Amino acid sequence: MPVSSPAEVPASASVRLRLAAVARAAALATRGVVGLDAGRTGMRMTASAGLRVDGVVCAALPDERYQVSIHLVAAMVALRPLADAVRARVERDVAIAGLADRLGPVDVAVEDVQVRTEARP
Amino acid sequence: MSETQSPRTPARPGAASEPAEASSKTMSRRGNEPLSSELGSTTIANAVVTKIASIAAREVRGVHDLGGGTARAIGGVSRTVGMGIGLDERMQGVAVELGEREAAVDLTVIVEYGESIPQIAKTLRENITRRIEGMTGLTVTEVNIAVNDLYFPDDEAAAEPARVE
Repeated sequence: MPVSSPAEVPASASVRLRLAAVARAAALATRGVVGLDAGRTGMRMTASAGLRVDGVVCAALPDERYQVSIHLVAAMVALRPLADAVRARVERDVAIAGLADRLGPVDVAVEDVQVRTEARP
Repeated sequence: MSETQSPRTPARPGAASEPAEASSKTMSRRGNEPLSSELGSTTIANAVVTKIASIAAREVRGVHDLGGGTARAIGGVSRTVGMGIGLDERMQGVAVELGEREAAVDLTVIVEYGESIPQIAKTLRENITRRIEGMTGLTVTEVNIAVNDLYFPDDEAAAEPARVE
């Protein structure tokens, strides 16, 4: 089942899934981010216990942290400042969620840009 | 009918052997440097730069369409059968080669008859370079333009005779 908000993830869920949900919400809350992109095969996602966070990949690191990769669709804005803003927002929201010590590098991949007249499926 | 010039360096991205900056541990804010550090990396997909170049090219007055005959024919078929509308159609006629800090663009265009091709090519280069560099921070090293057809508005009208009288 796709997760659209961190509130849908129970506290008992894995750290990996909770991180992904927080990162997804943080990215979507950043101005200039239109959506997230799970890819044509839908493999860019984090899944655990029947729940799925699309567009965010969390992978374990040797030091018990998780590398978070966010695959996003952007509006027609300057993309590198946008990536920095997404990264900062993710770090902030993850800290608020009490998971800062589990967060590793946050990779941001801009997979597509969307113009206003273009509808996303 | 081809217009190919290199406004800047002739080298393709990645062709020159420049010292790697991957060892830098500080987050770079400069647009023409790779944004990679212990905090994470930023990558911009080829499709993104391709779309930006395509939109920038279509903004130029005198450009009727992008793509060669084959690309437009395939686009037409895809449109007819309900596939490939939007993204793929928008990106036809544009090929982008991406490096970590640089991009090169190859463009195939159809120009409206009567317009100055050198002027259109100059404006295309300026607009595409400005848009890509502004949005992605990449340095555009080349914009190669091939004008492969002219567009006559009367031709289109003559090609579609009325089906009923």
